[in-house]
Amino acid sequence: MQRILKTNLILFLIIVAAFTLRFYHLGINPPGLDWDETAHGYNAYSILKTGKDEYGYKFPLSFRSFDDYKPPLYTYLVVPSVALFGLNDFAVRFPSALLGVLAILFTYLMVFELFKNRKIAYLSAFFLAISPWHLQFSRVAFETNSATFWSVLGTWAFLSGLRANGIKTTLWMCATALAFGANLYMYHNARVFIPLFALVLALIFRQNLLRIKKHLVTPALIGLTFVIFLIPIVISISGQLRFKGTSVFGDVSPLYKASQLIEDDKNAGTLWEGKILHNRRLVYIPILVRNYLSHLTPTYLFFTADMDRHHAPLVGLLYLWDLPFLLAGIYFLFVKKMNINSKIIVVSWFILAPVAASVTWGVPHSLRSEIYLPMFQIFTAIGFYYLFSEIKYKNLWKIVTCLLLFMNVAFYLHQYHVHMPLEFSKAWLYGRKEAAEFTEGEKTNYDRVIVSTALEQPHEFWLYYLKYDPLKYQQGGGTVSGGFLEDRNKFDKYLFKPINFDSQSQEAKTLFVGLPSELPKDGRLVKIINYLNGEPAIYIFDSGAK
Amino acid sequence: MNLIKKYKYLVVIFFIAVTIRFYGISTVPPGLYSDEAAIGYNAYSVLKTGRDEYGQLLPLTFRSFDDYKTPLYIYLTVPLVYLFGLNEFSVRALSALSGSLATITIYFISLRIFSKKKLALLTGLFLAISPLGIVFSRGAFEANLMLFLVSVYLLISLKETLSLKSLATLAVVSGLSIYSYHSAKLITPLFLLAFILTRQDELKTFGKRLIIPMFIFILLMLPIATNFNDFFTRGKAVSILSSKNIPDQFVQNYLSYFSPKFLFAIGDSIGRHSVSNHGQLYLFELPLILVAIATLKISKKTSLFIFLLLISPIPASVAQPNPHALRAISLSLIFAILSGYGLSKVLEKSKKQALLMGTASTLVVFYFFISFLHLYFVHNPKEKGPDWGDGYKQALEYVNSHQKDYTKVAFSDYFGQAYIYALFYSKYDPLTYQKKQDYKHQFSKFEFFGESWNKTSAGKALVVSPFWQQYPGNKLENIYNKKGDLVFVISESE
Repeated sequence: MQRILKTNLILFLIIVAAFTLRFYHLGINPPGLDWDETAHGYNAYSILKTGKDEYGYKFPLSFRSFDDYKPPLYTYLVVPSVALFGLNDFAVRFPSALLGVLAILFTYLMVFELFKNRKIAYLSAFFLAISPWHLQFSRVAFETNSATFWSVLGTWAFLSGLRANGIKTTLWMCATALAFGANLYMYHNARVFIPLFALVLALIFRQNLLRIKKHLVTPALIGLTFVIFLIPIVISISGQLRFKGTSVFGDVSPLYKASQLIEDDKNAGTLWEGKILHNRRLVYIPILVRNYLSHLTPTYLFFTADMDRHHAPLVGLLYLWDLPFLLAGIYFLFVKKMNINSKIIVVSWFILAPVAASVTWGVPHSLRSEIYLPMFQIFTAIGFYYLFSEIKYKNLWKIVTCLLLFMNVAFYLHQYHVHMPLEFSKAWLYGRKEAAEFTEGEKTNYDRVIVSTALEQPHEFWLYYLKYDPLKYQQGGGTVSGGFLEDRNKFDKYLFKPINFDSQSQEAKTLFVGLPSELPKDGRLVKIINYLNGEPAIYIFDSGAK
Repeated sequence: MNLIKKYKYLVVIFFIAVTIRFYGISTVPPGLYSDEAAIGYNAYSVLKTGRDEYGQLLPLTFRSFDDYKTPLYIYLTVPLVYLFGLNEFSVRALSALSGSLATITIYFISLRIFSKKKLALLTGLFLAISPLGIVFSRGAFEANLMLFLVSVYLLISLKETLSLKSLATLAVVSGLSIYSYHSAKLITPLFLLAFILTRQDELKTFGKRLIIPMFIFILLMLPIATNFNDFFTRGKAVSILSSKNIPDQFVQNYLSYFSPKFLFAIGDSIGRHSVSNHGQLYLFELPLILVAIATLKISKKTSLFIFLLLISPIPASVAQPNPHALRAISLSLIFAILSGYGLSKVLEKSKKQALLMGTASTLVVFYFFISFLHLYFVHNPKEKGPDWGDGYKQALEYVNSHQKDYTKVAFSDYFGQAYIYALFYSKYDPLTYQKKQDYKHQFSKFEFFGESWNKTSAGKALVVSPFWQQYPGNKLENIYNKKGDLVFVISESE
């Protein structure tokens, strides 16, 4: 044990750093759970207690949740975590943070396997450990972060399998099949990325694979099983719904625009050119290209990221420090002598990563393209390594670069732990917990509690924070539907629907929970819940009548 | 004649460049932007009186809309206005000419760097068909004149052996460039500095004779010293000095010029600077530029143009908004060189399938080129009419032919700077205009109004209002732009 520790001291230290950064204040910062996180939490709780999800489906292969039909794996990973730690914010985020730490270990192993260079492997692992992008999603219960883990693990196992002999090959390849297969149940984008990436791997190593084909039977069967179970999910109406809801093809305005251009061409006498150039089969191509390229916008990567929930204030997804090394790394990757297959693997990973996200609206989207990781870090590591080897004043270089990196990291951590909760508590839906607990205390004084659907999926938050008994919930009908306009969800004394104060306060003695803008003129304010920056978040009120 | 034979392919490229840049230049882009009208009228004013619209004798900066325009473009437009009259063509011709000539200079630049004729031709061709080049060559953009001057001094600075004559020319051209566009005030000094540093050994051999080019340069800079303030007014007005975190803002702006989405997919957000949903470059240039970056060797020769690549976005990055393709126009030279280099590398590598690759790349380039031309000539004029002030000409033609029946012409200033259009299209006598004390608000029968017009004097008035505003009196005429959208309503008030 001591020996292992000694030879791997650096790696051990990196892992410790990664662990600390991911677990410090986990469950406290970010300052609230977003709806997807609460859904994972409550559905895992429900599975743990009853074996069924909030709708009453038994061990589903995709969770209907908010009608977005979530891939199931993350929720199932939360089940043991909830069993162990109870239903709380820490438990919900625990699997993501843990797989985040493990991703660093496997990044080290994968990079070493790729480039046979210990220093580059250490650097890659270290850069991933401190990456704002990876930290952001390791510290919340978003599925995508675990998709990075499975991809890295699978690739490492695959490369190891190629090198191994006999039964070991079979075992490694089984591990690959399991990791890649699991990834298909992890996150939507992995369902695009993994098949394409696996194809690239198969093409690069087709000769090696043919040579070991007798070892590939079991792994192939495992892979096939995953795929077979996936098919009905993907082609089902619900799977299509998710695709239609988020894909650019759902928007017909480009088609309309193209037909307008053709109409203009008709008037201008350039009809046949127009018919070719504005062909309606082609109109989405420029949009896909634009979406794809948008993921490489420097301002987005280094400064603004995409939305408040995806970064710390004033910090982007990568450190500004990374920029010169990142560019140098890409350059060196092309010009330096390295294993050509490894080069192809890294480059094709980088090229394929944003493909799934590019088909969706709302790009660039750091969550849907997180599968980029750890490629940015590997490039940075390569750049740092080769620049260092070519520089004259090595000590000066070490001091300056480390100092600058330290400043960058310190600034990020300060922004993340001090300013993010204050500035972005609204984005983190802060206040649902406080409101739920307050209403639970007050409900005996009222006939019913109406929670406004303007709070966005309030039923999930109330179920989660009140730890409402899943069995009772299912017996009461469970969730009716998770659409954003749904107003029929209810349990116990709680009803989740739009507030219509005048009529609803007439019907029964009602306690209302809503946004500050929903407070009626003659409502009596019972409680105000503020965001962490002092702005009002939620108003709880009644009619004031005795 | 021999020269043409020697450079027959270059002549073809130049011919292509001229054709794309001059064809229908008076009507595409439609109308005139207010800056263009100002350039035209000030040139006209200098031609007739030697003074600008404010009565300044041969000014160093043209006050115009208080944006203090750089002077070179306007002065060089004077002979064009003399030759062709005051119209869209004479205002835009210099820009189109600069853009066309740049294809020749870039050919020789590329030849000096790489010493390969085919590669040099490719670079010339890529600049000739570059969306960035075409869009800016067809409007009276002073920046395009700067681009040409920058290309000339880059060419000189790449000379194998420097002579006193070439140094003197370098001094003249770089000195002039500073008067051509605001960006040059930063780029040129930086470039000269790099030039001096990289070739200091050679320069030292000139000894005392170096005084000559230095003297020329200083002489050219003297006028600035006399009027330092006006010369930098524009820079101050648009700068990021008021921003909260200046270094951060600068880095952010700077990087935005290298955003692939900006370069290859959507382009500049300012309507006049790009074709909607088309990048500043062609998408096919993306892989070529990547290949070029990966394979380009940093040498004494390439370092100067890589340096130009790195400094080109600086002037634009200290200003707002970003990314602003016009202010960083010298990038178009670099990207054309990189694309050309990239393609020649690809063709070189694919020796066995040279014919196949050659045909394939020709087809790809041709497809993108044709579809850009289609968008630019057929759809863009319609879409971007409002950006180019399409409608003023039509309105003023009506006004000019009818104003004799009225005592006043009231023209809406809703879109800003309407007075310059009235001056431009009525070719109003500059001498009479300069004598007026209350510039801009009224001259001759014209007066300009904002939200609504109130009668100021007796007599019949012709009123031009934007189509959504209430117009007084009887409607006489609807003024449509080229797209067919209503822009102005002309009415008559008793």
